[in-house]
Amino acid sequence: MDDSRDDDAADVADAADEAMERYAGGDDLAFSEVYDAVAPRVFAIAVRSLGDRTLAEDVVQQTLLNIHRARGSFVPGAPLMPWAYAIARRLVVDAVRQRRRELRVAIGEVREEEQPRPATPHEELMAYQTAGSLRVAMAELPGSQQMVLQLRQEGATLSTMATSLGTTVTAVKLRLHRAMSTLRSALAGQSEERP
Amino acid sequence: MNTLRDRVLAAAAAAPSQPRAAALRQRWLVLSAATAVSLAIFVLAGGARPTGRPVELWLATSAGAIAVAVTAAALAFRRGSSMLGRPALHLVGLAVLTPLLLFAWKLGVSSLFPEMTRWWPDRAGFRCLSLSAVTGIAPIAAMLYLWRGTSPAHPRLTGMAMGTAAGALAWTLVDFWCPVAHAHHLLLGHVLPLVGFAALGAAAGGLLAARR
Repeated sequence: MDDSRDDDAADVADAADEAMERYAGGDDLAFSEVYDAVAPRVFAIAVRSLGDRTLAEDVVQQTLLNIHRARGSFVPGAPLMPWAYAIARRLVVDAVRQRRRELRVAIGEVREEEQPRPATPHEELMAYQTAGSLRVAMAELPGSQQMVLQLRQEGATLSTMATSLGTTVTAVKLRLHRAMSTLRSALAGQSEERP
Repeated sequence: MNTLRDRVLAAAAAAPSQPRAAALRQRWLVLSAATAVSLAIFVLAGGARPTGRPVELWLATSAGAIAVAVTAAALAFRRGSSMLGRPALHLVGLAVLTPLLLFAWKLGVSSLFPEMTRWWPDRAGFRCLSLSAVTGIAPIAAMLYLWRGTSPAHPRLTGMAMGTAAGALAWTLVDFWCPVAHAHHLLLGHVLPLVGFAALGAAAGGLLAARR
């Protein structure tokens, strides 16, 4: 299953590289192909990170326009997707930083509203609490760990993630491991708190 | 998403960008202009002068400095095989090794000639410091301008490497002019401005090279 996911990601990356090469060379029409290759993947990451479709669309738009503005400096033969992810990562990190405080406040308010609802089924409450704990734990992860989780969910390979984040595959594995450990600990802590 | 697609494609069409060939021409133009500005400042300050040292020494130290500076500039400015720029370790290595190599070369070659590493009481290094500072500004500004908004993985380290390269280019010009090779003079007048440019590049790189 992982192999097929990696193959799909590689196909998309190849198509994106080929379209970007033509776009950098002066074929203006190739930008729509660059968009089609980049936008869905960046949108998926951004919407997961930000939880807001409008903000995620802003990230997609800014990412694509950055690529458009810098197309003349595109290195011949360079992969497009790591660059696109890197641009998106900066935009997402900026947006996450701005929204982190708002998110914590919002989660707190939602929990307060949820507590007095006696009619809520037990399973639904448990699922809600789990999701809430995960979101809080995700929000408290360092930005680099958030990014590897999001890129992995998006289907990026370890090497693509490493290139996007300007680090090594080993470092990416370590960040993934640490992020997952933190999330597991958060969920375990929540289970212990349950009556 | 279709609305977004239309919006992005329309925004791109409304603000056309340079394709590779035009960008390459602009790159050469900006870098040539920066080099010309540095050379003009250098000529106004007195230009190349082999006086005070043997011509062989003058040629040897200058040739070594040119080799180091050109290599540093090529490594700092060119992205390698990725749009994200060079790995952090390479950029740090460039920033550390460049001043060490320049310093070692100047001191080492000068020490092969009698009296060429002596202390000059009236040349502490402040004039070289000033000349380095004014001749290095144009190259670092040009490199950062051309890299602006392209989101390398390490914008500060990339800026630091560019500052180092600009400082090395300034070192080369000043080396054509300055006959002094005493270690204290070199540290104050030649190494310090190079390190200053590296720090300036790191600060500016974080602001300019990363698209926000």
